Amino acid sequence: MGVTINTVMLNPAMRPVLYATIVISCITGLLFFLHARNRFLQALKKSLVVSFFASGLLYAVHADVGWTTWVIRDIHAFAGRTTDEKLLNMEGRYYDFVRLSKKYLPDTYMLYSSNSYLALRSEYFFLPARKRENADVIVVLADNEARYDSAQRTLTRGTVRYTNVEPLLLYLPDAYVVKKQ
Amino acid sequence: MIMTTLIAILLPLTLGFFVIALVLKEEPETGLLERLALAYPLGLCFVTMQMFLLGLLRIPLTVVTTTLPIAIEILALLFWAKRSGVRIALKPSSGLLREITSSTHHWLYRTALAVLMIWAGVKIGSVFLETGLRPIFAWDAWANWSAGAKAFYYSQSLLLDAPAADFFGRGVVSRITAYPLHNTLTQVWLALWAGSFDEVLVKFSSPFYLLTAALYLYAVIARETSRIMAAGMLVIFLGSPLLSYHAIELYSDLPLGVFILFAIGSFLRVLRGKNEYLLLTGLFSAGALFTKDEALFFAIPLLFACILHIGRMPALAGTRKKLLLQLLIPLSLAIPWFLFKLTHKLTLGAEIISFSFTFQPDVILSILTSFAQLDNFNVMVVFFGIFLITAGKPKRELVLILIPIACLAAFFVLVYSCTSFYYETFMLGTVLNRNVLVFYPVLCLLSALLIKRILSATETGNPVHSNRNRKGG
Repeated sequence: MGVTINTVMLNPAMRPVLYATIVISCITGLLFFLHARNRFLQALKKSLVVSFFASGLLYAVHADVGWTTWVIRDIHAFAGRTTDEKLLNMEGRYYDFVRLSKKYLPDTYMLYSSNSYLALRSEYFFLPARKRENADVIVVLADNEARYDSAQRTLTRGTVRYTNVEPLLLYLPDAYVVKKQ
Repeated sequence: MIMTTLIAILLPLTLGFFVIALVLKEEPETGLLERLALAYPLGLCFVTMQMFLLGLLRIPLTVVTTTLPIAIEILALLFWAKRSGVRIALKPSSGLLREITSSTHHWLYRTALAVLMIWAGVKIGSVFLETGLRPIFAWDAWANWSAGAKAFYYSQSLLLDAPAADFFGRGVVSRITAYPLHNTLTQVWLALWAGSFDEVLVKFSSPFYLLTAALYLYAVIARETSRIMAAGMLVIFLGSPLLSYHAIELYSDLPLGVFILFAIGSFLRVLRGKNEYLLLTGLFSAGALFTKDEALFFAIPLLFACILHIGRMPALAGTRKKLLLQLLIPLSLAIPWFLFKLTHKLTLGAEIISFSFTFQPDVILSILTSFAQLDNFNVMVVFFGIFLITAGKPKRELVLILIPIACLAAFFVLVYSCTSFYYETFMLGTVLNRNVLVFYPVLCLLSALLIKRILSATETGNPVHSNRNRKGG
């Protein structure tokens, strides 16, 4: 998961429309400039410029309609909210857990998660607290192996077993913060 | 917080504007709009470079320590300008408004001009709006650039005295320590002024890069050709979907593209006899070097092209040394960063890149196919190629301008086709279009110049009827 903006694909249906515009405007321009008594090569060059502007502006209309749709959707989703509320809206319940857990984190913490995206994103949100191999506070988030037994106060993960573990935040069965004693 | 963010934008703009005013003085061709466009990235480049130096000196990065030198510089430049009688406040041009309202042009022309300008204005406005709506969401933005910025912001330092595992923000999320600091320190600067690392406000440097590129392109193309063509080119330029999305996020490709545009734009003026622009060519190249590593493959060829120009122009014979210094001194602003890289064994590019060589020329075909798909960049890239061919034998000016651009493009093609990392691991789809974005603003400028050349050549050529008449006569 995670979004990265490497490319914005053009709607495949738009591609032939654009190429058709390039060809048609070029031919029309060519005929017009030939009619206006330009030499063939001159007329062709001018018609290419016409073709550039015709197809470019058409492309811009198409792209900006898509862009406007996105902006309008985001206005509905984010306008009038605080940055924290926006993040909550964007990231969902996961961010609620992250912002709540942040209150319990000292300078360092351990992070158990099987979801590499969530783990990395949490690391980012938890800054300036840093993830360490041996910290007292453990954040468990969508981890396939970690199990916390609140009655026994034990946290197990594979062969690792911590006893006398204090719960700091029990948000969901697979999202919680505990502290080793 | 919005007001303080605005101050954080205005301070570098003011600094850059004063520098531009002192460099260009009363140079009549460069209007207020163009100067303002050039000022923002230049000022921001000074801000981040000074923050880097403060960090190296172990001076805590706070609002006071980072702003004080900027404030002193602004005051000193103002004093200098007053003493040397340089007029800083230029009168804004009302040419556009006059052209739209005057009856000398056909109503259709005036309507088209007004519509295109409103269209461009609304588009840029919507980019600012969208920036303010959405917090940082793109992977590379938060995992690398913003993660580093957060670490520096909270520690108020560059973490140079941290243990080896944390040195210089190593290991913070996916931070790549080898990458230049302009983007990262811009975010720190905005966060310092906002009073917290706000996931929305720290993004506001990006839309300003788009705005400056748009203003500059409009001003230059309008001067070179006509306002209607400049407005048309502007709408097409802004019609790139990839550009729009990058302008609301914290990638470094758009800033680098803007630095390249301004460096080439300044070099173009040098080629036309405005030697004062040599200093700006050097400054913007230094800014590019402090933004992304690949700028090295642009700045060195640009330096070569400048030397070629200075060396071959007989009119410049007596001032060669002075002109070279005008270029090299500002370019040397990037030296501290490269010395730091060298002394701390930081690689060129991300540490994860392995340079095991291969030869895959089919990559070139993939690149051309990708361009033909018309994704991302409107029709600009395709038509730039067409215009380059149809414009005829390039003039010396165009050849010199194309040297650094072609070298950077060749560098990318070589990296894609000759290193197995890019060919096998990283895939072309991940990097190609983001790297092309770096060229996109300058391609827009060059396309306009080529169109001008094509149209002027066709206009000066004899029309068919006159030839016929001659033949007939």
